[in-house]
Amino acid sequence: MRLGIDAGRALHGRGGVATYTRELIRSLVGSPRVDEVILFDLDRGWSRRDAFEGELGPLPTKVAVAPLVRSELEGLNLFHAPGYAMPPVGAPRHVFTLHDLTVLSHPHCHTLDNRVRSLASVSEALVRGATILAVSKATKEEAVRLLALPVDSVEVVPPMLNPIFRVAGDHDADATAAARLGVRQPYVLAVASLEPRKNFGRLLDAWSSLGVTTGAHQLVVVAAEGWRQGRIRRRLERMTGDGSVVKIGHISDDVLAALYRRANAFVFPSLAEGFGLPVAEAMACGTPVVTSKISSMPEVAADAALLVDPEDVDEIAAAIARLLGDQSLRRHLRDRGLEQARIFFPEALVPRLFEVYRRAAL
Amino acid sequence: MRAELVVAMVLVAMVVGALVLRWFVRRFRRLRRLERATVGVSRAMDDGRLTAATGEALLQHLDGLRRACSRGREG
Repeated sequence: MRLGIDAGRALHGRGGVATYTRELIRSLVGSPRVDEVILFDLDRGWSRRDAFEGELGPLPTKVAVAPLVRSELEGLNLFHAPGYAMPPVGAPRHVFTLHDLTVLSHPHCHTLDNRVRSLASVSEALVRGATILAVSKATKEEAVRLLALPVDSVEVVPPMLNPIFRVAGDHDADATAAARLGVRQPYVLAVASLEPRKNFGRLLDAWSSLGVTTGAHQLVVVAAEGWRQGRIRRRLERMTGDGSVVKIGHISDDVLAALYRRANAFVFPSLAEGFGLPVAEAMACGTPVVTSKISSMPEVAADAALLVDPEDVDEIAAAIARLLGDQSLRRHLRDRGLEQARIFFPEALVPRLFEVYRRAAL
Repeated sequence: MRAELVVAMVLVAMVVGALVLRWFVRRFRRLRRLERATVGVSRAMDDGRLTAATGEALLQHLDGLRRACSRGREG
């Protein structure tokens, strides 16, 4: 199979779509079922091979980098579009990853540019007959409900986890990585980009309301820049000043894995997700999770997390307090989380992805 | 003093002008992209590539977004 991928987001993006794209490419490159992988950059037209290698590691010879020209696209069996962009001219068949439809379900959480780009690219994918690949059953249900798509026309394959997110780490290296960032144990971790959908306002309300209940715990917030969060950013700065919060910007996956492993709890009370990758990452690192009981998060966490109403500050605070105060509950959720996270690693998902490719290429 | 005031006013006018121009360009690009998507969906409905239900749903979302873009209002 000669497979084309829009790899641009792996280079230029941050957040879930970029992580999805990177792990997709790594998994495909490692699979013997693909003869040739051609990386395109739909954002910029073309990027150098060494730029991709800088982000993805050394690439084998079956991986080529090509400019966005008709002759390259027409020679493919299949084109996978994981970054909300379709190629301008035709590959014979397309697979389009639908990460979420929150631009329709939660428009107030997005900028106009986001909404236009997402909806226009979803429309284009459907017009060109692309196979729609949802990242969760919840996203599939949303697509069926909001776009009136036939139920059997949407495939589901979750994002693949980077194997670096594992429970066994180098204790000393983890401690060094955390210390470099000014993080000291014990702490509760939150990972999300700074955008309204991630519900940082209520999380900070909940944390403030806990007061002495959290003991010596700090709240460590790993948050890449998003949009429309000036008030939250200022509040985080104030709370950083009084020592109750540590705010960290974008960090590499290996450092993030170290922070997950050293955290006593992970909290992710998002208002809506297509999947909720940080929940799976935390579980894979053996960190007990508090997350939302709506959208895709119950599907990702199953019974391996405490599920809360993300609009109820008291419920978020109570779940954090319960987890911090109950060691046996933490141990139970850790064990269940490790088991649940196994289904999101490439060895479990690559066969499902190839089945989608096979059906799409027919 | 008066010359400095004129220069300052010209600079402020240039900055404001650039911001307004940027706002119009972005609005124009969004509307053009939505217009193209709308045409594509309508054609796909006509020639049967899209079902009527999906086509109608997309057109409704595209129209709502076009109105939001015309107002230039976020959220």
